Amino acid sequence: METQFRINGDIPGWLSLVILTIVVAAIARLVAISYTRKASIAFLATGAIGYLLLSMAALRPEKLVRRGRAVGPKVIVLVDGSRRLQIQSKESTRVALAKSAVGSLVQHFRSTRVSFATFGEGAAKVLKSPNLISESLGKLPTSDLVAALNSVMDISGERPAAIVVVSDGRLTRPFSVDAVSGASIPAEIAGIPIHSVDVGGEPQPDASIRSVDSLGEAIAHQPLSLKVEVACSGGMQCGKIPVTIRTLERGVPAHEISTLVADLSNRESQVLDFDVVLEHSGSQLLEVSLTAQSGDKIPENDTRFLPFLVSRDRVRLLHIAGCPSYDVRELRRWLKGNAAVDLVSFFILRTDEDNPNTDDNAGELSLIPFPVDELFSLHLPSFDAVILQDIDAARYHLDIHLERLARYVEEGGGLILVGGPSAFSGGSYVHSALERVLPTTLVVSRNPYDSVEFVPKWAAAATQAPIMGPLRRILGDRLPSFAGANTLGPPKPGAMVLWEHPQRTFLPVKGVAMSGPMPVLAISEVRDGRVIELGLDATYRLAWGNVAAETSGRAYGALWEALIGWVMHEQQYAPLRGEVIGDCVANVPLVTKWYLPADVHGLLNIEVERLGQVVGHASHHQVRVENSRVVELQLGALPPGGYTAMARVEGGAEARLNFACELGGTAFADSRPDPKRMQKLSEVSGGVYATPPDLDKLPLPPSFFVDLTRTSHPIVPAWLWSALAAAFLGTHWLAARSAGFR
Amino acid sequence: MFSPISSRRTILTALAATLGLGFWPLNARAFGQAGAFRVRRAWFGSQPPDAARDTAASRWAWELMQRTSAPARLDGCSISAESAQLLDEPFAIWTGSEDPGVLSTSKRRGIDRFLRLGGLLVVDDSNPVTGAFGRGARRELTAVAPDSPIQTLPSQHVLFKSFYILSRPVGRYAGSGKVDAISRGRYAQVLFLDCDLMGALATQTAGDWNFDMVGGGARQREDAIRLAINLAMYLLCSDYKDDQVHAAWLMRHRLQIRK
Repeated sequence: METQFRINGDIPGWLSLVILTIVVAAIARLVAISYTRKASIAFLATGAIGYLLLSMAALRPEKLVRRGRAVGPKVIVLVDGSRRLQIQSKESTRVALAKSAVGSLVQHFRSTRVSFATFGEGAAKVLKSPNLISESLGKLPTSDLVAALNSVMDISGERPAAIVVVSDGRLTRPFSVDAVSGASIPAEIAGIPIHSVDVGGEPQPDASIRSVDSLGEAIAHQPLSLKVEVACSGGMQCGKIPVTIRTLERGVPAHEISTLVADLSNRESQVLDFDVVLEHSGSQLLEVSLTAQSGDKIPENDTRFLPFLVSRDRVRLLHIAGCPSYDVRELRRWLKGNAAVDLVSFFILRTDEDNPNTDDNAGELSLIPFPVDELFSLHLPSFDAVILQDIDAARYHLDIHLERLARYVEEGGGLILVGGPSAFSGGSYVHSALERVLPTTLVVSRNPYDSVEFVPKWAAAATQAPIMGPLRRILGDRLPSFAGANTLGPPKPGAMVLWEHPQRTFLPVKGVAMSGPMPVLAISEVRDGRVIELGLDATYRLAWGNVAAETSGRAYGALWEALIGWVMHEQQYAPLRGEVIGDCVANVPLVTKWYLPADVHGLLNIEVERLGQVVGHASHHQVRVENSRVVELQLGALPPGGYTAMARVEGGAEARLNFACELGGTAFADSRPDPKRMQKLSEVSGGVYATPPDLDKLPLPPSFFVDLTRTSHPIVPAWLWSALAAAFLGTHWLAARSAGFR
Repeated sequence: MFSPISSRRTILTALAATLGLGFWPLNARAFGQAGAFRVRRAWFGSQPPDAARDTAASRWAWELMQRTSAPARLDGCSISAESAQLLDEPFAIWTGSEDPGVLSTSKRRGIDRFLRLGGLLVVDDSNPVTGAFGRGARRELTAVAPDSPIQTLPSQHVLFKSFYILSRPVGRYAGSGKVDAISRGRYAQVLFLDCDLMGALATQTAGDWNFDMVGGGARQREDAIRLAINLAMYLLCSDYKDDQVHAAWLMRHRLQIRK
């Protein structure tokens, strides 16, 4: 209960002031008269008391009795939820310090209505109980305090009396001490003191890759500038530290592409400028690592994984043809007419048996030697894809380079083999090194090709395959007829057949019991590369003849655009698409989401392989999809490294998702606590900076009273004030008269 | 240096090839042959292609196979502008000695579709002395492609280095020494010759040449054959010899020869 005295509530404040002013003036006048005329004390006392009683009659003071309770003020405690707080302090982690601080704050603010929330990405997330703090800390990749402050009014529901920030100060936003200002505090919470509790502890000795300036995108074959900041902090003495960038690819050890040395003898950090060239398009992972330093207490930030989406301004293609024909002509004209293609062609225009009727040295021929050794020894990696069209490997000395060509494919290159009499088994490719990367098994045959006119049949998988989408949109189910086909063997596991021969079956292969229609067009992925086999030598009939007349020749471009696009890993030709939900944190279960086309049924198989290792198998997952458009799948906890998840719905083509799992990631990159940022935050907002041991110095905002009941009674009835005033003023008048005042 | 092609062995081989045509199934398109070069004689005007030059088609194909790696079909044929088969392959040659007259709308439409698909049409004036056919053909083809004026190909054009390095085009006649063309996009699509190329290639069944060269001998005929080879290679490889890798090599090679 609380009792108060006050002037009657129905009298306006200004009127009360006027009345009291008049009374005071009147009493002052009496005092002055009494002094100058030496009047009796009775004159002064009765007059003054009379005036006061008269004013009381007008103001009618009353007693207010409030029954209710005192309520504590609202306080919001924002706790940094970043994974960075998992960094080890001197004796424990920052997470442990933060938990301890939260416990102390619960006690310290027990007289207030305190709410706890974690912040990191976007709006702060309120905890139902401070006991849940253990489950919420050390999970988020960033520490965006600005976004959290913007959400304070939403999560609080009322204007808080104080905000307390628990962090190590290494915030994502405000991103530096200088960035902390009144402007970084949202207008709606301006004036609220922000206290800060620094749980950064003592900085630990740490050699780290502090930052990598990368947008995650690159152009193939063009130098990419990567700025890598290497630092030594926490009192650690560093000298020269080698920093290496490696590419991570499937089935091969990590390949070093650049190394620079940071000299930290006399400085804390140095920015290294790397110029790297990524040769293959599509999704790629780079590993940036520094050589381990003794005394480094935080090794998690010694390695970073950088995902890159490598595109190209132009696709660099090497087109080699065994002889000029209408098929070669059409392909070359289409490639040359495509502004996105940078074409290098080599056609065999003359064989040893040909007689041009002139001497080679007479200067009458415009022929140049086929630089096969130079091309395949020196220049092969500079091409995005190679097209071998009807060329005999043995005759033109390609055979000695087929192993290199196979490796080129495995490392991410594209290869398209186009048919003809000298292609496949007719061109000395059987049992060659190249065979291991082909979609079909090549077979030794007395008839490496036939000359029977036929119309290829669409394979079942082709109707759903995005690679055939553009052609099917123009032609539907029809295809033109072709004059014969190369003899191809059975498709290998994992290969996808798009066109089949309507009559021929593939020849039996030792150890393979199956039989089926002979592939005419087949595709497959080989580690990081892609290969297409086209057992025809007349796709120009999509550009010429009846079909072309009806479609203005567009079908030819639609086929080759898709074939080249698929080989170049263009996303639009992927049969499905996957993404990692959130960040992949090493040793924490990873969740992926897969987007499937409509009408897909069957088993979705996902094979996870570690990149940068010869044997990289990590795990296998399987889920049945029945017309589901989106499937979520947990891939388990993975150790730190780069990975590829290869997904395939049975019978369909493969889609890949490259990702990296990091121990520290961006959160651990800069391990230093930043107490100055915390101090400034408090300073600009009128708050107090504290560390866990001295949390008591955080001021408690005052409580306020909430009424349950309010009753008011006049101290004296109004008539009594009036009567007493009249009595005193009457006495005063008599005293005045007796003193001779008129 | 070239050697005259009229050696006994060569003539006999050519004879065998020419005679073999009689047994060649006209529609046979074996694997590897479907995309092979074939000379199709265009019948665009009122007069059919003259029979005296029919054998030039197979001789042209035969020379191509002998001298280059390109496959070719010995079974030449004639093709009408209104026929759907004009669009089956990208090459046709239109020969004549008289004004072909005004082409009908349907013929013009057929030629236009052929050119729009990227076909190459060679116009070969069999009688460049009068030049009536050449003038008439230019008039009609200009009407087919009014937006593409006829221009003379420069001496550096890839046609003159697509296989042989040629200084000028010659056929049975020396002609004007230049090739005019209608170009669409980056490629010349109609080539106008005024040297009777087909006349230089036409043979008799006995293997002898059908026509004597006018103003030149065996060397001129060899140059005419080389022009035919270059035309075929330009058709099959388009501007392949303009690629930078070839340009650099050719420049070096020429310098070495001059030294």
